[in-house]
Amino acid sequence: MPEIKVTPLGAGQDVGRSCILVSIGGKNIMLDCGMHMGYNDDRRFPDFSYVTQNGRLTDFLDCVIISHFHLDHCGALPYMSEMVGYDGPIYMTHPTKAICPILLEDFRKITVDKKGETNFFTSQMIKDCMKKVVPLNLHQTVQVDDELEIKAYYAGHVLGAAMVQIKVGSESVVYTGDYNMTPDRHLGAAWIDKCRPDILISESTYATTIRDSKRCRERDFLKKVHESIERGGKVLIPVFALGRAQELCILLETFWERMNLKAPIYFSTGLTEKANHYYKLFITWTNQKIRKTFVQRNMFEFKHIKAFDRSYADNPGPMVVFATPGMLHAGQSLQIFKKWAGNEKNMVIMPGYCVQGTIGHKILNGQRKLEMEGRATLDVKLQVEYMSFSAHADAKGIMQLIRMAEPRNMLLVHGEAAKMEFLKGKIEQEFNCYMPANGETAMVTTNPSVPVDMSLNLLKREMALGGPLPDPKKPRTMHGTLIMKENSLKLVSSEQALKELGLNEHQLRFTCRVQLQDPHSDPDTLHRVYTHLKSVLKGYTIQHLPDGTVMVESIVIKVSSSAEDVNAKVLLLSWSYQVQQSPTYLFFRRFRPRFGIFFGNV
Amino acid sequence: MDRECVTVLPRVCEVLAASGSSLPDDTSLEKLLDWFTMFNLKQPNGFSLLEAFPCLLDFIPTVVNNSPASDASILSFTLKLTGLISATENGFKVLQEHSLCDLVFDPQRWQEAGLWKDPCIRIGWIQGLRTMLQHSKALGFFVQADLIEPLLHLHTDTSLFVASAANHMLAHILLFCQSENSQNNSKHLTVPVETKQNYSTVTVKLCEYLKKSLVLDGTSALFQSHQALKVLALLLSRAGPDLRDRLLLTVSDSLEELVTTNCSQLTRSLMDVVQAAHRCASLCMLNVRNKEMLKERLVDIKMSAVTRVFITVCVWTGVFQVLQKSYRTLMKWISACADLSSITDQLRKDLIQVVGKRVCDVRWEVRDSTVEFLGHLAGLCDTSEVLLGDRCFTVSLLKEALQDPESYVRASSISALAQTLAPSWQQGAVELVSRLHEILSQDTEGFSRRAVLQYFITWFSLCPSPTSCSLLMQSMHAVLSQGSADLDWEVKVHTLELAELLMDRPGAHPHPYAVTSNKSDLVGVLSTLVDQGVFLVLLGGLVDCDRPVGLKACQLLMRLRDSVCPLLLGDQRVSAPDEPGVSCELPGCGWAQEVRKILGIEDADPAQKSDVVDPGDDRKPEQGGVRDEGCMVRVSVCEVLRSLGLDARLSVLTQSSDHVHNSPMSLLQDILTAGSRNTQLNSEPGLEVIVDCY
Repeated sequence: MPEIKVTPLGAGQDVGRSCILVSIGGKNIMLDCGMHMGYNDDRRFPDFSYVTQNGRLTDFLDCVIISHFHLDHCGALPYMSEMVGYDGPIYMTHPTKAICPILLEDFRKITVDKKGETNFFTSQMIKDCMKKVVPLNLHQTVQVDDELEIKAYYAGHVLGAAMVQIKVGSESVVYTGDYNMTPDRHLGAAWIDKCRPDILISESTYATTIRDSKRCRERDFLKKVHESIERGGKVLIPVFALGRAQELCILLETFWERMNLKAPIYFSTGLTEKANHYYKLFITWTNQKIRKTFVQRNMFEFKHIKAFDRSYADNPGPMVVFATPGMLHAGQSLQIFKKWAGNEKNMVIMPGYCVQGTIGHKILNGQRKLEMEGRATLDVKLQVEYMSFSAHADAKGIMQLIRMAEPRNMLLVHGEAAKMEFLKGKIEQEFNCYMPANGETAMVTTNPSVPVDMSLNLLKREMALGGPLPDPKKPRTMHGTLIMKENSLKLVSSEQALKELGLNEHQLRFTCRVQLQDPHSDPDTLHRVYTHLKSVLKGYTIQHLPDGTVMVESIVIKVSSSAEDVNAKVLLLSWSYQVQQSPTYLFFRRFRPRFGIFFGNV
Repeated sequence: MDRECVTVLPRVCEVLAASGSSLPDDTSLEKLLDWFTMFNLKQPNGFSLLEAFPCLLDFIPTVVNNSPASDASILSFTLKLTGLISATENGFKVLQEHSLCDLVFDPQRWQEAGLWKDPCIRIGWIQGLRTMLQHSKALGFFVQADLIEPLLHLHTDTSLFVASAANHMLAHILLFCQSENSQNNSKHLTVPVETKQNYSTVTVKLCEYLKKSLVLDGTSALFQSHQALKVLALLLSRAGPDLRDRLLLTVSDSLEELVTTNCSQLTRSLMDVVQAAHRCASLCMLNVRNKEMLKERLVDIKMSAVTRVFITVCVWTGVFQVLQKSYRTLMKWISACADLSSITDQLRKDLIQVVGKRVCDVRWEVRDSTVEFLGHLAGLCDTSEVLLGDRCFTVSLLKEALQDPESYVRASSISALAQTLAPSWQQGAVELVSRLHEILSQDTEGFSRRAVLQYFITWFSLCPSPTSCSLLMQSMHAVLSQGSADLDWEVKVHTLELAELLMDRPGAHPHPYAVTSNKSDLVGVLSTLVDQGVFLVLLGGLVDCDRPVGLKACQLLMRLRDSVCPLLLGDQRVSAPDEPGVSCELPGCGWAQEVRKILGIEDADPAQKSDVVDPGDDRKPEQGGVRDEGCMVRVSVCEVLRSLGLDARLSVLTQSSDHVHNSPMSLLQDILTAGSRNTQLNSEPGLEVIVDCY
């Protein structure tokens, strides 16, 4: 039975470094190629030596598909393509292809900041890698090769995020990447058709959570910002360049407009213009509301949000600043944090997860005294808030997607093991559900129906033999030759097959030797065999030919004696392939014990 | 720092041993192990981890005896830690006095507890053992505890990671036995019979296992053969002659048999083994001369043929990857080929046509590669002209590409134009330079702006003297001020590189050992640097939030301080009032506020401020020594250089930006607070930080 194999190298019972290998119908596909931000060495990348040794990735992989631009899904791509060496096709959507290099550049900057880091890609490598990318459109089937096809579906989550269906023949797998089943301020909800894949590989970040309504979270966020501003405090929101930052910008912009607030909002490092550019360019990927109102007013042209200059951080009075990077590990966000941390009127809102080794991680864990460079200590007096605005499907959303796609099996990735286990329990009430750890392989046996055309001649012949017409409910054996031609299968008569393929027919003969003890001469022995056969095989043509052979129909029998023992006779039998299926053969088999002739195993 | 860690570690161990759930960050435990590993490496022989951190001795049995309640990741960590401690003979001895190795590495125990099915426990077990196997006592333990069998079982584990770890472990054991044997032989050591027996038992068992594993019988054995081949390849490439011969002798029949089965799935692994065996056997026989001849023959192949193939590929193929490869191949051939006489007119025409066509391709990837190709070609001066004729053709194509909608292409065209630069270059220069200024000030993408700075760097490097490059010198001020105000860190670093070139210009400042007594020359040089904006660029860079910018600026300021100021100021720390000085105006806003803060200009007392103020300038009455011109402040350059605390800054900037927060102490604190947060979460659910994405 054919199998589909799924092996996560990353994202198996964890988050970060998403990289999932799928083998389907003889094709090998890599889904995502992410990095783990928590490491400073090669452990940040998936270990590609598990894919194949000696770095022959191009020989092994048929393609790589990237679901979206977050670094835990695409961050190892230039390393893999330019440093390990992969020349095959890489697929991602148009917006992902455009935005990916910006985030990769951003991360490269952070690694340059961290001295002693080696083995990291350069700008040129990022560009060369992006040149290998084939862009995908939504709902458009792309033929990777003659057998493998892929199709992207809208996933919400971030601009350009896609779920992808991978199909080889009648077997298929859907990989969700990260997705969101509820629309937000700038993106729509994920959608897929009832494609009934053999496996649905789904993220499970919020596997055990039924998230409170988005409105509540937003209200909470705005309330906190507003309170802080009202008491004259400054609010820092560390973000990554593109993604949830834009969602929060729209949220604040609308709120400022409604409440007629005057405190300035700033966005650092020129990213507003850049983000604006991409959102305009890919307006079709945003939600309906933004698309509709785009003609009158571009939601991304903010009235209240201005570009930040580093000197503004010292300005008196309240303000809100969006600054990169998102985990407070370097650069502008960290610089502003250091300035503002000592004042309890101020606030920092962390809108996402921070890895160990960053200030974001420390303050989220409640540390209030931070060691700084030169053994100085920073007293964190400002208010620290965590408010996740990442757009992932919650448990309800995951079940909703399952009902949409109607998969045969489920496989969970991108989540914490304990939480996955809980969701797995729920899903298993209806489906098989797998949650392989990194390095483990989940194998799913498929039962693909392979359509075969049958020639009219063969059908007619079968009917002439008196059998009933083919009926799917009553399977029966039919004889013919199966021809595979141009990706289709055809069952035809052997004559037709020979004709179509331009081949000659060959005769295949089987032989066997049977030992007998008989004191007579060779011709006498042959004659005795002849007489015996005549008496038992009535109705068959049996001839004793002058060349010293006996023929029963087309079976030839000869006798010879051994050199050492004249009484030991050897009967040499030879028959054609056709005989093996004829009544004569059956007869011989039936009388085998009496003759001492063994026909079996030929 | 380590002393502090020693005091905190017992509490960390308590947290880890008590925590029923895993830590929120999955990297913490690995980093903790990294720290222990580094510690082990740094210690003098025999000093064990246990002597430094005695609490570990209690930690191991507490966690292990608490299984299966302990979290699997913490158990796995404990297995690896036990291996690390017992990697030294002392450590091993202490652990075994408490029978801890027996306890920790007993697979039966983990199986009975139902934990063996978790791959992270199996990985921990293998890695722990592997780290431990550094001395003969550890090998003795391994043999006596009969751990070979469970290890061989893991060699075909369902987890790719476990199977691979087992693979490396098998190779490690054989190589370890080999090196121990050879060391003992060379030192003529009397090795106990028992130890010798251990080596021999292990070697025989493993060789036999490999031999058996190579034989294919049924589909389930395919993976085993595959794994055995991997170990063999690994071993053959690293084994000494004795072990290699022994291995080859044992497995050669099985290998031959495997080859005759013609199993296509194993072909690659078989090839690896054959290569490894062949490499070690015939490495010394490689005929260097043959190699040389081959190389010569390759170069001999006619240039025209290559060009023709290239053009055909470029014209006919729509596949980008092929095109990219063709460009690269052509460049390689051109650089290797000395004789370009075979280039015919027809070929030249074809190439021009192809490049002209591809530079307008609808795909940016094709346009960019074409522009890059033109740049590389322009770098090879004569060749470019032979292939593409007059330079004007290339330049006009590249100028067109400056308008490209894709920033990558704009950047490549600027870099390519830099390759066409010649010292005498004048034609169309004004127009191009103004376009470059426009890109530097307006382009939304960093790539093109970085390329502009690099263009000016190349131009400056080619310029023989300032007088012969008036246009370049006129542009300098604007380029420096725009570049230093840029939002992209690389643009800023390139701006500083350009500033460095200005500083390095002959006569810009004296060589530290040069005998120069002409102070007025120095004043002139420093004034020029100030006028060109170099000094302010460096000051701005120093307080930049991006570390590479700060570092570069700091290094340049120190160079300036060390080479110019001592000569201007003599050895005195405070300049004499009558000494001629160079001053500059420090703005009152933006980055300069940061510099003012360092210099204490705003809030320091007047007496201190006077240190920083140029005493030679008395054009305006001042308050407290600072000449405040609106928001501007006039300061003495050398005094500023001395007061910035550059040495201290440099030592901070040369370290990694995360050196404080990625230190062992910081890690230990993070684990401690994560532990207390776990307790808090149990009482107040909803505060949990979910690991999502970035």
